[in-house]
Amino acid sequence: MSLLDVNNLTVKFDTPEGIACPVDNISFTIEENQVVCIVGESGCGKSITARSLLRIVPTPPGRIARGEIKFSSQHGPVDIAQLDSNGETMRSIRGNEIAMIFQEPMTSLNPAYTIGNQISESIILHQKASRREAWKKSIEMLELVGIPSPAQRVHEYPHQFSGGMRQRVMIAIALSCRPALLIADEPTTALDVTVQAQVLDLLSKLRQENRMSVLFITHDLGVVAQIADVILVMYLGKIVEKGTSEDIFFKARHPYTRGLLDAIPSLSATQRKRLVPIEGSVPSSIDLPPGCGFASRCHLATSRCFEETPEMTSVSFTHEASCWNMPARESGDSVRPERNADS
Amino acid sequence: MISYLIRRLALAVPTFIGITIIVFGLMHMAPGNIVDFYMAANSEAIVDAERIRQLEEEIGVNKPIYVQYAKWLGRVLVLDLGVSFETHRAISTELYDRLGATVSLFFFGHIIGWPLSIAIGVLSAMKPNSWIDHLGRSVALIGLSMPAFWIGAMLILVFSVELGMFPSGGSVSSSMSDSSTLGYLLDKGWHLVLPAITVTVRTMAITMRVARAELLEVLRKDYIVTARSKGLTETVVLVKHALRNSLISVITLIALSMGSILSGAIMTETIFSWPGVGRYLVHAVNVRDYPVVMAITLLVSIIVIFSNLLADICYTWLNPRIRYN
Repeated sequence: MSLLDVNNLTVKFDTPEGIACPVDNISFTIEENQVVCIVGESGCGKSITARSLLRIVPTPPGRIARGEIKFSSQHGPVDIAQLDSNGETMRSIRGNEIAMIFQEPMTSLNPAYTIGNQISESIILHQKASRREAWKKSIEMLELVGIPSPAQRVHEYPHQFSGGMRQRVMIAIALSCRPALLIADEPTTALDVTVQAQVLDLLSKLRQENRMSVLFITHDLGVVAQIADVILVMYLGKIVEKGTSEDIFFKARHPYTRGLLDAIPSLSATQRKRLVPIEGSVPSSIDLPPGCGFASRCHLATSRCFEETPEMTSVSFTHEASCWNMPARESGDSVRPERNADS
Repeated sequence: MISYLIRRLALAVPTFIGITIIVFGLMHMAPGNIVDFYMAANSEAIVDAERIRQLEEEIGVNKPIYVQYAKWLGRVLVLDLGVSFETHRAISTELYDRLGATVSLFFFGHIIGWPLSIAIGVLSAMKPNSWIDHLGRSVALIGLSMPAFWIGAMLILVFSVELGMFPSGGSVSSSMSDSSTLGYLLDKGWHLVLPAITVTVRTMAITMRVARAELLEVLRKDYIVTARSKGLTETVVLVKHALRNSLISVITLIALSMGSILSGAIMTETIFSWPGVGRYLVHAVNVRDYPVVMAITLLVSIIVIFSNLLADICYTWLNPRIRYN
């Protein structure tokens, strides 16, 4: 059985303007020790998907309307979608078996408590450790994530740390209980490029050491190319394409994925090629018209695309996409993401 | 921190002097002095002009104002509040007799009112648009819309005149002098209910609204999501992670409203014939008992300045980013 098995997950938000559906009937699995990346632009439902897995989407307005989230917990399989979001079972999974790090390291730590207090809080809660043991463990965790002189810094407050250091602290908190799955919600977006690389390296290293699965959410395809085993491309609450790095980067079938790849600047490009933007903007997810969500921005759209919603269809054993007019794509003309080309 | 406190206390000295000069000046601008009030009160007494001059000389009200002020300040600097013009007793003794009543009013009003209003604010913020939220906000709106003297008068009208549940004034029943200690205390508590409500309703309303708004703001912060994602219970998230960060505004509000709280006490004590410092101040102003007015002014300004200092110290505990160096 997979570590996490999401089937037909649908999340709805009741807003004054109507019912929005930021996550619409998505399915994916995460195997043990696997890195799954969700890629997509702002508002496509990546973060809501991630937060639904931990049941930290505020209710109301958010609710899981349909679907299951099967998780192989230490205490046997559970369906997270059915759990009480504040119940004991959910709380024992949250922060313990599934941990999460966030986009904004500057605001994700509580300014009123020391770093040590905030790391040991999880350890005391989930591992029934004493305050003293948890504090010792906190220092070890800080050392593990590469913070210099951890024994002193553990007494300091978040404002005494830089952004990159705070993200390391967040990683230390998330990993303190050795979770089976780490959800990383754009953990490098708010960081400088050099710091991004350091944090990514740290995450990959810790992942291998701990044999941990990672659900990595980002809009940075360069990052994805570096770490992903499986890539899910999301658009308007739906997964439009799913495949391995090679499937997505070299054999992309969905026009949206191809659009994303064409919009990546390349340092190594020999001819002066203009970047191709995806025209238009994401429509509101309230009262969506029928048909494919991407149809209004798609240069391949036909009348069928505005009437019927395409299902996920298998392209190869590892590769699926949902489009009525899937163009064939030769592997030769693909756009290589920059970071991949450099390394 | 210590040097900061010393600096703040040193800065308080000019503030004290400024306040006393203003109050002293205002008092003397009001027409008449205590001798005139004696004369008016005892109109049948025949006192010749020579005797009046003699009396004014005795208490020093015929001197130029700066001389009077300098004399008063000189006494205060050696911690002597002086003697009441009216009763010729030491003002410290007069205040001591009345301070207990005011302190008990403050205690039963605000020391209960503040935590209670913060608690209601927290409950409202936890469940916005629930019945407790609506109830709290409606009561707050009513409390804010009515001045203290009106609330006091209405409470007397409804609960003492119409329903006869509580006394309309005073701090103890006259029949209680020979009763047991417990009976005496119960009687005191019974007298306290209406004045305590009157003195605290407005402050409670504002505190509640600020606590609610501030907590709602903090609950939207990223670190609250982090706290929830750790698997903490809602209570821990709320009390440990949210409440402490939202208290700064509440503390600021309480410290800043200290002045209006004390003036509210004056109003309440007058309405309920409460034998406290506030009512004594009103009486002293009426009979132009200058030293008493000045002594109470000094007391109030000390309380206001110290409560603001206390708030500054609280900030460093609530938010470690605030350090005074």
